[in-house]
Amino acid sequence: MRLLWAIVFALLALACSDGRTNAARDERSTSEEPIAAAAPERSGDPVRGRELVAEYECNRCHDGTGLGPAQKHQACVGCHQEVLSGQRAVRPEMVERIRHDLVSLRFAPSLASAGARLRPEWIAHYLLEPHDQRPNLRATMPRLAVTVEQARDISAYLTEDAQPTKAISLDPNDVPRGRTLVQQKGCGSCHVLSAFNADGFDLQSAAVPRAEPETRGVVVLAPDLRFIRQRSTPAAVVRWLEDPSKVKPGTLMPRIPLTPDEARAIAAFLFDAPLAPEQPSAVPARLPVLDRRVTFDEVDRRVLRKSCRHCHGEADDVHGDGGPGATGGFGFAPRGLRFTSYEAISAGLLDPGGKRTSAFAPLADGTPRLVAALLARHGEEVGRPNAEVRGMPLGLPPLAPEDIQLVESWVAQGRPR
Amino acid sequence: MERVIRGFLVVSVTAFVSLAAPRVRACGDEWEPAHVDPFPAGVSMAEKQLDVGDTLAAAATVVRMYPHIQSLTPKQGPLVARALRVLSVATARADGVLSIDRELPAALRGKWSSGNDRERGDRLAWAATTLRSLHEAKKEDPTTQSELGEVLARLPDGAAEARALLGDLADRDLLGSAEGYAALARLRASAGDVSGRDAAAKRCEAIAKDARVCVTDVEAAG
Repeated sequence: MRLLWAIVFALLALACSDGRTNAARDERSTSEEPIAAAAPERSGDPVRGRELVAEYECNRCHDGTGLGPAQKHQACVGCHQEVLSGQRAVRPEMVERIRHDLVSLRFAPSLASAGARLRPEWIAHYLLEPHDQRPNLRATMPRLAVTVEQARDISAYLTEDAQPTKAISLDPNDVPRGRTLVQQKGCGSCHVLSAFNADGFDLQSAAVPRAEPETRGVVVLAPDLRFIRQRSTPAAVVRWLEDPSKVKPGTLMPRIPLTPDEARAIAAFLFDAPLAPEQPSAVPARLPVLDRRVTFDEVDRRVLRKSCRHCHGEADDVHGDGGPGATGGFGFAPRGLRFTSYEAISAGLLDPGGKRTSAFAPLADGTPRLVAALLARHGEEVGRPNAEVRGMPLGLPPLAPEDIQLVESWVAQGRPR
Repeated sequence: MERVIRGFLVVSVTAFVSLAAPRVRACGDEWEPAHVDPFPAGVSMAEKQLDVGDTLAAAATVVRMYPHIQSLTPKQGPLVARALRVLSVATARADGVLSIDRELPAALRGKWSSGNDRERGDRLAWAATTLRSLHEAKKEDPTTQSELGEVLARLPDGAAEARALLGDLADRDLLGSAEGYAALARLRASAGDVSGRDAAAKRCEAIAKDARVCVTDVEAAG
């Protein structure tokens, strides 16, 4: 009898054990409490994000930042629009001379309703690695000095308006029907559909010859649809197709008559149609230094005045604002780099310590800094940025190889006046 | 009586408005204000003249606009500071003797052109003081430093400071004028630094629009 009670007590003791003495077992999923899921990656601070949107002066180009318009002399896109429409007093011959650049900076996508349209993680990635999304828009998102954390915060702020929505699943069998609809509805008359296998369909409208600079906002701002699957979600795209103005009031995207089924079919095509493999793009060959004498006058006339001076100007010229490259802007500290005269460019720029350094100082590979910046812009366009120097001109197409050759030749010849 | 007073008031107001209105010059349907401030354009012109090497013209332009310029200081405004800079640099580059009498009114003639050593030295000293105060206001501006170096190089007791100033700029590749390199070449030659002189002279020749700028006094003396 006593033995029986001992066995009972022993069994009871075992049953009541909470296992805490076995550290190994604690770590296995035999615990009664569920193991907490791995802590989610930090999702960004929208309050800090708004401060950063102000710091990086996103409203100089973009509407829909929630900040209100930039000051008149800092509103890049607004100023260009006013000049082209005759609202600003600018001499006609000057307008004619800079018309090409004016057109390219006449539009910038609005950031309104970003949360209803774009994936937050895509926005954060895009801020860190901007790349051409809109083939008809000459300017691109500039490569700013944004950190990973800042990109997340900005994204969190811009997508603060996102409403939780139910994910939808698309039927891959709808892809062919979607392709037919894309052709029938004429999506290609505004949007580029690069890398989509047309499979005999004429997806790209020939309504506007692409060689001419496009001036219609609806076409200029239309993104290449190959990027949709990274930028957005199927649910967001279907909502967008059904009624763009409801998602983003004031959008130039027209409302195409579509049934809900047709919207889903188009979305299926955009998300599930196979894309041609991305072809690695090449940086144009670097041209050799010229034999003939190249003077500052020529470099100034062909390159500096056209491509550089607007952002690297004199502080006295415009309300104390010499441009982001001189007196600071877009989050960049004032560097004092001016391209307004021979003496100005020879005066170099301020290093992070506040000391002057030459704009022609060689980088590690011996390339003068100014030349390296011009070459780096080509690298950025093909996804190969230069870690040592930011590509210039910022957010604009790279200079032609012949223009870079001119600058490099001038520097190599000792920079004659 | 009331009519008289009213008539008097009408005449008075009319006269006042007529006298107070700015005088305009009518030419067909166009009109332009009688007075446009010439100073900004004038200073800008002087800067361009200096930039292309027309030193005497630059000096004359400034002196005509500001006959009393030697009593002015940079603190009186950015336009005055720019004018002072142009004249100071022109004075240095002309080695203290500005032969500009033909371009000046009679009252100013002789003031800038006399070759008297004392007066020449006074003008160079004035230029050095002026450029030094500009340099104080823009410490990290290589252009101002270079121009200060040029004028110090012309002063008997300014050589060492000028050589240090210009040499430092040259070492950092921030010296942006042929005249600056020419001054450095002269200073290094005087100090017996032949290789340094040659390096500065070579940079001067590479930059200069007019190679005559690069002839050092040592070479000119044979």
